[in-house]
Amino acid sequence: MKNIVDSNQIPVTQEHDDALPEIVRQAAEIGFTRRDFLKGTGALVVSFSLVGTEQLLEDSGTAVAQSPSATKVDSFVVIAADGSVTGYTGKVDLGTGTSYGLKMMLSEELDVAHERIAWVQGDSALTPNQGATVGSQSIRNAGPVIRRAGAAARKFLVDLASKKLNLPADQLDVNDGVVFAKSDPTIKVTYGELVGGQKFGIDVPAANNIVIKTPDQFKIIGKAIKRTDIAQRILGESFAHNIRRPGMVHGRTIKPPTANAKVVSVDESSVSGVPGLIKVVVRGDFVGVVCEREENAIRAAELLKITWSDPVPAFPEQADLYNYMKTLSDARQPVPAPTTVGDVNAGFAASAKTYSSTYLWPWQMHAAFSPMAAVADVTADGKCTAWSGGQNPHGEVAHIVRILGLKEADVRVIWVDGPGVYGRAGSTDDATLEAAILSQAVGRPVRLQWLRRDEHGFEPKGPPHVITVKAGVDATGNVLAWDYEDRHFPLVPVREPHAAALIAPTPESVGSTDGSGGNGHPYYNFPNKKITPILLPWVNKWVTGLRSNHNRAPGDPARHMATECFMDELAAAANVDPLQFRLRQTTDQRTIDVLNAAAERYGWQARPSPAPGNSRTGVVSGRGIAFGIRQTYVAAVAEVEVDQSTGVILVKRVIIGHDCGLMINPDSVVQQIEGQVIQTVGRALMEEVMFDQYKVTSIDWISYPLIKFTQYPTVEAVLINRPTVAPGGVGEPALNPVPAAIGNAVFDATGARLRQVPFTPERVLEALKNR
Amino acid sequence: MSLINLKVNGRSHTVDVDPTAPLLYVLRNDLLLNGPRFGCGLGQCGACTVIVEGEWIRSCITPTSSVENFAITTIDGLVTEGKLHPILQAFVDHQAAQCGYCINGMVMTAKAFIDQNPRASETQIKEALEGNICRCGTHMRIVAAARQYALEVGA
Repeated sequence: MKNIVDSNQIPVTQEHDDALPEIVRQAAEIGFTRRDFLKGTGALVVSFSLVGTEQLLEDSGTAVAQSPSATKVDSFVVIAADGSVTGYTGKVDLGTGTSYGLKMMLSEELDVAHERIAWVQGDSALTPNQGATVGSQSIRNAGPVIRRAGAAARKFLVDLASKKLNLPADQLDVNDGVVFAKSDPTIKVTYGELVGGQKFGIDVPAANNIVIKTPDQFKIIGKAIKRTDIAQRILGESFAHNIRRPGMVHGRTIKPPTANAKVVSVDESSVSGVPGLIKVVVRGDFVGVVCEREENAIRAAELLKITWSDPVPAFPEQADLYNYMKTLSDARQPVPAPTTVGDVNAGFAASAKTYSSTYLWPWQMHAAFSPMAAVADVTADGKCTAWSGGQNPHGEVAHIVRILGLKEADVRVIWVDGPGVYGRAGSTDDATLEAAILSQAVGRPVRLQWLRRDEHGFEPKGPPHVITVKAGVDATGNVLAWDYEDRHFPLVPVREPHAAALIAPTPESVGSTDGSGGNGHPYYNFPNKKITPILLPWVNKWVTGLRSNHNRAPGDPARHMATECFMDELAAAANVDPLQFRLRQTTDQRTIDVLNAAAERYGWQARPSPAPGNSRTGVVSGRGIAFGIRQTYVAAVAEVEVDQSTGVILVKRVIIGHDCGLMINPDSVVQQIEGQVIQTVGRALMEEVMFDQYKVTSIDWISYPLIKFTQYPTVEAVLINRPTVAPGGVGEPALNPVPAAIGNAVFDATGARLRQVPFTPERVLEALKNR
Repeated sequence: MSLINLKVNGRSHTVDVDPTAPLLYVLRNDLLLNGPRFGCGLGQCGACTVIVEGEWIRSCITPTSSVENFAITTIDGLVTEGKLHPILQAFVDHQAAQCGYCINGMVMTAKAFIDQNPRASETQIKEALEGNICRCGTHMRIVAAARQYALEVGA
């Protein structure tokens, strides 16, 4: 079952009133714990009367309960006596629209109009801990739980109505929170009348223990719903950056000037002349300043004289990075066996020809447009309330507890809107703990924001890859043997905030090679394959500016670049159209469908690359295709112009064929695809972290440029909806095939093969010379 | 510290600040405006953009004393009694924000440029926005929204 939606033809959408911000804001203002929030006086609580949830907290047996249990329906859904409905989730909407999707999923199962559901997200005291908002997992993993909670709540309410109306449950239906008799809709009772003053008191049922709606029953899932938070985000009303507390002062922190430098001494007299200086805070190698005014805090951070230990080389020379990576061995003990299919050696032995290429992917940063910012208020009685715009509010609590020496029950982290972070704050946003340290030191609420050079210089970064692929092919060019080796630093090691590592580091782990994508496993029907991820050792990864960590779709863009560029090389070697070359080596219908969808929309003409008749000079055009998978299936066709005199690539147009299974909100899907493609064109063409042996030297938007307004392509999406297939994520998969599609299009245009990201003009000119 | 008169969004304010303090922090922390925000402090990204006497400027590198008594407009001033200015409405219509952090700069730069160039073409709008950065990749929608405003202004 599938249907195809053209992104230009999404049905007309409607706006709905937005009850969220005010509720979240009041939640932030009203009290310290969920119980305070529920019990407090004032209009908010009168309107909510959240008795069930309050009881749940009493049941938890602690003086001040932390996050409500993620196994209880009451933790996700609260229906007040007046019928108003509030949904709760630990997942946060990073501007990607996930809150709309999750709310639609609750709305669908509960049968309450989504416009009427207030939404509370990412508050360590109010919402269940559903893990960090990472890996495009909100809709995919948290969504089904919310659907089951909603369905269980609906069943509970219909059973209550059955008793109250004296009618069998199967003769009742629900419309927007009103249960009515199918035979006579005037016989009815509202959710508020049924549940007022009670809690559900039931567990979220297992998937095999609850009936959820089938696609033919959907009222809201699959409809295009517009976001209503656009204006508030543009106006900045909802950002963590704009939290203002009474008596709030401003902090800045100072990062070590060279990797692993230790504080020898701090000369506080160097800033004694800064107006409104409140305190210089030194803990271990963590140094911060707090001032009454923000601009003076920045000045104090610039002026403070710190004597650091002598610089010691920590990184390889950048020019030698990839050679260095080739010399290292897997850090894991024991080294896991490669993933194999068939017998790769026998496959090579039977091959008519063999090919090999190596692909290079650089350190890249998330480059959040705002440096991380947070506000924290640590009071004299040891309670901490912090406002964070990161991805993991529940996860910040433990760091604050450990470094500030507070009780877990006394720490509340409230998520509020923040800048797009793309994985940067998936484990920690860094700023929340730092604001808390400074607030504890001065006894006042502190707003902290990193400087741009520190955000560039010290954000955790996506690691480089050296990927070597060898293939043996038969007489037609089809692959008989595929040997794929991916050398990279850890994809997921950073588990603690920068300040924690500077003050009291915990032992570093070797990290992970698993970016929760496919780990480089090719999706084609090759009879013999060997996939060898090599997790290279990377020391001091929690302190230095090259903190090796997850960047959007960890590992996937590099892995797909290698696989899909190499497939293009094999297609060209076989003199076969690159789309046909892929199609003839897969039988997977979803793969076939997205490839065909993108190609058809583009107007793909079957022919081998390079394009016949292109000049070897001047500006030439080409098209490239690539496939990608990360639970969601994606194909990209890129159309490029290459100026062969300058080496400049202009990506004109990118078509995405996209199958994420069940689509919840097509509007969100399209927006995510557009954003990923444009961001990734920049990653492919220009993004590379520069460093010397002591520090990161990409410290601003000149030394780490992003794609500009005269450089972005037109993005078109063809959406394949498969209502009977569980939803995949949509925040990462669409970027996977983009770099390869561009590289393949450059080959199509010029006959020159690019194997190193970013595809800078210098590298293009070099490839042109070598063609 | 010295007393400086600022005319912001049609109102006069007197602030007592270091004359060299960048305007951004005075707007945010003294006048409690949420619109302009810190992105780089270097004039490289546009997050802090405000309009002074019809020209867009980077408030993060503008000394407060240098704009004394000039007419300053921040994005906060583009909402009147709950009604959005047409350029803000255009951004809402096109859903031209992902995280939204950069959009202040997009709106203020585009507004100043289009108000001066009412029939601005798509190419001219892209060139005007060349000094603004968006990390979420919302470029298509930003340009579509600015184009809508240009068509309204030029009509």
